[in-house]
Amino acid sequence: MSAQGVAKNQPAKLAAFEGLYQTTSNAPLVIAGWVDKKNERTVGLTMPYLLSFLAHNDFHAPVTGLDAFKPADRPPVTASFVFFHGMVGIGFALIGVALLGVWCLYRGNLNRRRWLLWLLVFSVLGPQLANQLGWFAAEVGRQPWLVYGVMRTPAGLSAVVKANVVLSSLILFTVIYFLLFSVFVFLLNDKIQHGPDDADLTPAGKLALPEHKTH
Amino acid sequence: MPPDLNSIWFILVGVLFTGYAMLDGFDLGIGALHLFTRTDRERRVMLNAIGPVWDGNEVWLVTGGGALFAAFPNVYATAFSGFYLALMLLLASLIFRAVAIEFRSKRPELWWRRMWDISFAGGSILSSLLIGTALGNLAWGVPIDAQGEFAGTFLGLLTPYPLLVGITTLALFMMHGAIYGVMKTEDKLHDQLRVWAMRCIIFFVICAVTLSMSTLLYVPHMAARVRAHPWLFTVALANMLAIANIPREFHHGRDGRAFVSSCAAIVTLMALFALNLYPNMIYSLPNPENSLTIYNAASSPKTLGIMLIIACIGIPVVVAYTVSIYWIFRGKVKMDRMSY
Repeated sequence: MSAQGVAKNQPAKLAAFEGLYQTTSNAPLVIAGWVDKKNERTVGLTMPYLLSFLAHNDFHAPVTGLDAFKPADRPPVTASFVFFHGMVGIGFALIGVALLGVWCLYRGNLNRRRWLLWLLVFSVLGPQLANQLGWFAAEVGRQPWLVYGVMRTPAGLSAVVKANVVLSSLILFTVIYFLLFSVFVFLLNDKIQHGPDDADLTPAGKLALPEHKTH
Repeated sequence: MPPDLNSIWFILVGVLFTGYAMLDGFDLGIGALHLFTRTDRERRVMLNAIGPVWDGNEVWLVTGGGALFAAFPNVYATAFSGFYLALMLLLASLIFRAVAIEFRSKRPELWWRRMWDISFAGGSILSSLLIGTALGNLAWGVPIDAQGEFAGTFLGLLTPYPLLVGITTLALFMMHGAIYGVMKTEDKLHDQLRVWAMRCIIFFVICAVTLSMSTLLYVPHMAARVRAHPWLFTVALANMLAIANIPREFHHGRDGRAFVSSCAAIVTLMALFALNLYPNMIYSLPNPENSLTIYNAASSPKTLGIMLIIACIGIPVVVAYTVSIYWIFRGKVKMDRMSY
């Protein structure tokens, strides 16, 4: 669905996400790889036909490549490709970790696999990271347009607000967000260390619903 | 003659910002009064009085900004570029007061709570001052060039008249917040807040009288419409009657009605402001011909028309959820384990 929207509304973005230089029928989906900018091709592990299917619901449909756009109208390919594949990669890795965790829980040996528990602790960062990468991919992939096909990014700059002012606000908010993130981690750790209140627990150790309260 | 689309959108944007002043006004006011409370329990009661509603109130600012962006993009661009640093400061102070509400009672240490108390009060006071000062600049007029761009500086915005509007706004919000607090609290704190409310009313009336005098003397264009149409003076009269009604309602122990009076005072003030500004949105000084109006700064009639349909669907929804939230959390504050 999402891929079809991008293919229809912002084809150059889709081509950059996939590092697709030539317009291709039966286009493959790149699982992992790199963009060879000099030779205008993308090398890596691919799944044949899948991109055509995702973009047009048809395994053989042609998918527009970057060759359909003047060099001045193309987004930065390497950055778009890396950000997009980073996001997708993290997403699938998280699904894998979750399935592994459920499997171990089902087998009853989750608590003995310390490496998996630690992995689960750090996988908390995964969605946040994927989120940011996805945002980067979406915004870099739309370049050089601010409004796709209508207004270029330089045309959107404020005539009054100069770069040094923007920089100072950027520094201000970076500091604020860093502070807030530190406080967030501190309080989150505090809450985890504290654990659930006794009043929230039933003897079975499950979270109690109000009407089931036993004490 | 029915009002044209541009005028309807001027009114709608005005309604959204008035809604913001009426709703977030009291929780900014509670914040400005925060450091006057003495005990930790009192502070927590005050925080929980606004706890369920403050973030919904701030949505009105976001919606107002969104409506301004969509209906009058040139006004949005010029105001947000021209007031860039001021709005960044506003954003920062709104962030600090917001997280202070959430974080304050999460740790028992004195330094921790004091830090967030100061952050909450400071953020609230600075936000009120900045909002008022911005409004004051719109009333006074800001330098706009022939391209419709802001042609002044940040320090140029901090002149006496706008700052007076800023202080008046702070006084208004403190009064409004104190009355809201009276309505939501009991016993000792309730009585204390009533005393504060009376003091805030005096503070506000002094500011309002000074502001009215200086507007008549130095900003004659902000009284032009009322001068031309004397029946509009009833709005100014209604404003003073609403303020005068607050002590009367207190005397009869009708705190809810006192709060309604305070809301009416805010609505009439905003109405006076809008009546005299119309049809300008950003008045240009010293070159009034460069002013951004509801006609030269608006979106296309098609955009305005489509958005009006969306607004007609959206506004009943917003009113419905706002009313239900206030209904659910009506009455005095009761503290429990889940409180702030």
